[in-house]
Amino acid sequence: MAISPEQELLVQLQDLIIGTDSVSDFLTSLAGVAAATISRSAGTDVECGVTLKRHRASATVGGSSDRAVELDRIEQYAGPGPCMTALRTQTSVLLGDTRSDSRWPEYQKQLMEHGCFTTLGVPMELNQEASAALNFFASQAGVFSEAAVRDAAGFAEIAGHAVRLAVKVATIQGVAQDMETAMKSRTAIDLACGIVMAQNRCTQSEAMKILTKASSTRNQKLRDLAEEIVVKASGEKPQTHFDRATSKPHPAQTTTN
Amino acid sequence: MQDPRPQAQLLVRNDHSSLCLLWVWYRANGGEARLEEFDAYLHGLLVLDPFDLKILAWAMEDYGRARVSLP
Repeated sequence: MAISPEQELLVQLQDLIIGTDSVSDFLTSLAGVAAATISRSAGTDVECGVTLKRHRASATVGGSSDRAVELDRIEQYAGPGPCMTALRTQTSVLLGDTRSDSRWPEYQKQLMEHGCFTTLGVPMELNQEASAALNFFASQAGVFSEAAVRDAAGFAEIAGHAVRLAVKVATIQGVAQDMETAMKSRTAIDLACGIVMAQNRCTQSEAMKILTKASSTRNQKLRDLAEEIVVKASGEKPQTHFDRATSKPHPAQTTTN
Repeated sequence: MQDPRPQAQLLVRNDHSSLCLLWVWYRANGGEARLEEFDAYLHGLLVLDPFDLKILAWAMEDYGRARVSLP
């Protein structure tokens, strides 16, 4: 079965999500693919920066090169340019020639100082909690033809799906990590409870009452108090053992010859 | 100590998925209530031990710290 270029790109971007460990790494790889794709359309070397803004988080920036990241950040200190405008208006914004355009004078001046004479901002459709845009840069003015702008918008449409997925995966991974940390924290309290039960020959609920009372009296977090009790009793900090899928097989699953 | 429940209610209202994670941090700090009880407690529909207010405050602290470091 023949695969369309769009499907091929989607598979490539999905592989990037699987192959990278963080949203930031994914954005860097995505910017590389975007730069290569639009360089072919424009017929010249193009660099790409990508900015992702998530609700209640600072912006994450990736680039096809260090210079692309640097160019992408110019808008943060020189004021808005095509990328921020594209994010705001949700349409592609072309700055064809920094020498003759009059829309963003300070931004254009900074771009020219970096040897960049044209830029194209293309928004990616995400969701209410996040927004992202691709920012293409070239040293030569006027390289983004109508066809190249169309290609960039087509790329952004597919890339938007991949960015949404990458953000979702990262969020789930983050929640899983938090849950694991939280579950580890509970271990100290449960162990301390057992120690108090043994020392006082009391029930679990009575032991918890003793612990909470001591925590209140000392004005100390229950978890910290529990950790102290465990260290005092065993000489070492409490540990939680998770049986991971990647760990050694369970003895019952091993075969002997 | 300030009652942390109004702040917790706001957090859960803005981002419903945070209820589960906040509850896990509540359990991590010694809380005993089940998830449904915890939800009811946040919204003033269930009364728990006064010590649970402290536990909730610690849970909010831990939750805030963990959220800052999303991948």
